[in-house]
Amino acid sequence: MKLLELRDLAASVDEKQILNGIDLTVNAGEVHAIMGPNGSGKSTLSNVLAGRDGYTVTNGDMELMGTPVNGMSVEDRALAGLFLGFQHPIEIPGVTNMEFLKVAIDSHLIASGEEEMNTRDFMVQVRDVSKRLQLSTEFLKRFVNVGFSGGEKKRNEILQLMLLQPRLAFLDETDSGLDVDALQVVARGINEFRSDENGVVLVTHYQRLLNYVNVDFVHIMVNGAIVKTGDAQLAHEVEAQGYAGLGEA
Amino acid sequence: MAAPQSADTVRTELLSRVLAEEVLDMPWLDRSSARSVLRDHGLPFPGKGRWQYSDLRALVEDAMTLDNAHEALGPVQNVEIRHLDRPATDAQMVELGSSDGVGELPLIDVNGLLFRSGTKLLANGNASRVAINDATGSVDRHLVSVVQDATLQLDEQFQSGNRVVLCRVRDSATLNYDLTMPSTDGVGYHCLVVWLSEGSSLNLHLASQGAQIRRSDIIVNVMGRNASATLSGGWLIENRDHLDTQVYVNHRIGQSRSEQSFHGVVDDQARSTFSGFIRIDRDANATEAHLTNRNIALSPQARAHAQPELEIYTDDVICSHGATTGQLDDDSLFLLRARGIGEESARAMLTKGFLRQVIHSESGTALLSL
Repeated sequence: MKLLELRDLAASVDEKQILNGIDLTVNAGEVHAIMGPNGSGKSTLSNVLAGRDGYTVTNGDMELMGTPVNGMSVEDRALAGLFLGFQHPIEIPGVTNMEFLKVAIDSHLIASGEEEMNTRDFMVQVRDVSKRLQLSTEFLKRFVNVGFSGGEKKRNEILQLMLLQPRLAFLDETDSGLDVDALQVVARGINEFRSDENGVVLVTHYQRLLNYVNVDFVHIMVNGAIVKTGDAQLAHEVEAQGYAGLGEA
Repeated sequence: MAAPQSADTVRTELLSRVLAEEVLDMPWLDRSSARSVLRDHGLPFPGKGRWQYSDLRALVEDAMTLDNAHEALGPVQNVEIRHLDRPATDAQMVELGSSDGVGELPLIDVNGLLFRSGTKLLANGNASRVAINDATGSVDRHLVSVVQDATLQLDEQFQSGNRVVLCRVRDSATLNYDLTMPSTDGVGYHCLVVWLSEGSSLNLHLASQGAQIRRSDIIVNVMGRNASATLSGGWLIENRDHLDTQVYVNHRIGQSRSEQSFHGVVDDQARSTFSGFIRIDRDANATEAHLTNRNIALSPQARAHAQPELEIYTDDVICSHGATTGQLDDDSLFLLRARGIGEESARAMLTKGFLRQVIHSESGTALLSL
């Protein structure tokens, strides 16, 4: 099944054209990596996909689970199965992680016609996943990302991913700012998450996350377009030669 | 139709009416200081200075129409409670009439001339808890003393009416003060004055909803070394509510500390003003004083005025102040929505979160449904 299909997608931010015709298809069971130098439009693609204000689609089509998403609200895209992992997870003082996770899960349940999760089941599930991500349950009582280390913030993202079980995870530089230990925990989370039913897109600057997560496709993005697609071997070429060495710069 | 009166005419006419309304049937109460302050200084100019935003005339006229007695307080362990009306000749109640040492705050003296009920509380033990109920319909005045080393938890509720609370916190004593102001269509004037002696502390939590007009003055006089005042609170007002909160922290002596943090949320066509004033006297070396006031306007018609002011007469201080007014944070909103939370729910979560940062009291949390 096609989870995501982008056809000749172009988009602008503040009237500046950033994406220049992207074609990308992600099927269930696949893991893709999008790599590219700074400024190539990787984060713009994440934001356009999520429907963030200020990002305008100027051309092309974008479909999630076979449904066109242009015009859908941010929350409706999430409820349709899209999960955007943030490069810089924001801090939300005053809102506890627990409340945030519970309301997010309940929003998904209600949208699919089910009832809110009872608190006990929620706690059992959250504790279980937190443990696997080496996050103490104490941190559920804290305000969202407030006072979290870089690694904790990213593990909190993976916690949300594992609890919400989206169809498509689009993870924007989830590996940035992580030490090796944290990187391994995050990678383990991604590996646990991936299944034949869902898809993962890892947006990354470096190849190192791909040492821990096996990918099916690697796309190289430069100047708002995918200039090369290959398998995991392509990431090693980037690592060895740099983006310039691929002959597209 | 009569020509509109000038501010000065309003002020003079209002003053003569207030003076004529002085409560005379409690002759044992000495109201002379209130009377002379009002005669000497008059009322403030309506619409100017500290009365720029709140209708002074409406508040003074309201006080002149209120004549209910405030509900008596029940007995509490470790607290002596005396009521103004029994016995009528209690010599210790006489001082309740005096506003000496309060400074020039004419609305306190309007209360001084007109109050008909009041209490005197003397907390002389530990961890006592006293509740002062709503003042609706009354002009009342309360005198609170927390003796040396004692601790008092004071829970006060105020909606409308006219009330002055004067608190003296003696050496090494602690006053924990939870002040909640539920929503009302009425008008209200509330004034709290606290004097802090050496080594004492005040922890004030304010939580407020809106009113047709509500003015709240909070004055903290730090009189002793190593005294500390922590003031935090927030408000959530909507419709056409009007809330005017003015906090004055006066550091009269050094090696003392104060911290104020207030968050306000205004919705619909509501209007809030916050004025936070810190004064540090010339001899108050090694004082630390901080003030933050953040406001969020949820609708384009809502208005929040914020005005921090510092007056510092010595160099040896650590002082900071800041005030902001804005909207809910876009990035936070995006994160919540990107997790499937509808925009309305996301806004409500962020609004509550904004208030939770400053409201820590049980009563405040309950009032604002946090």
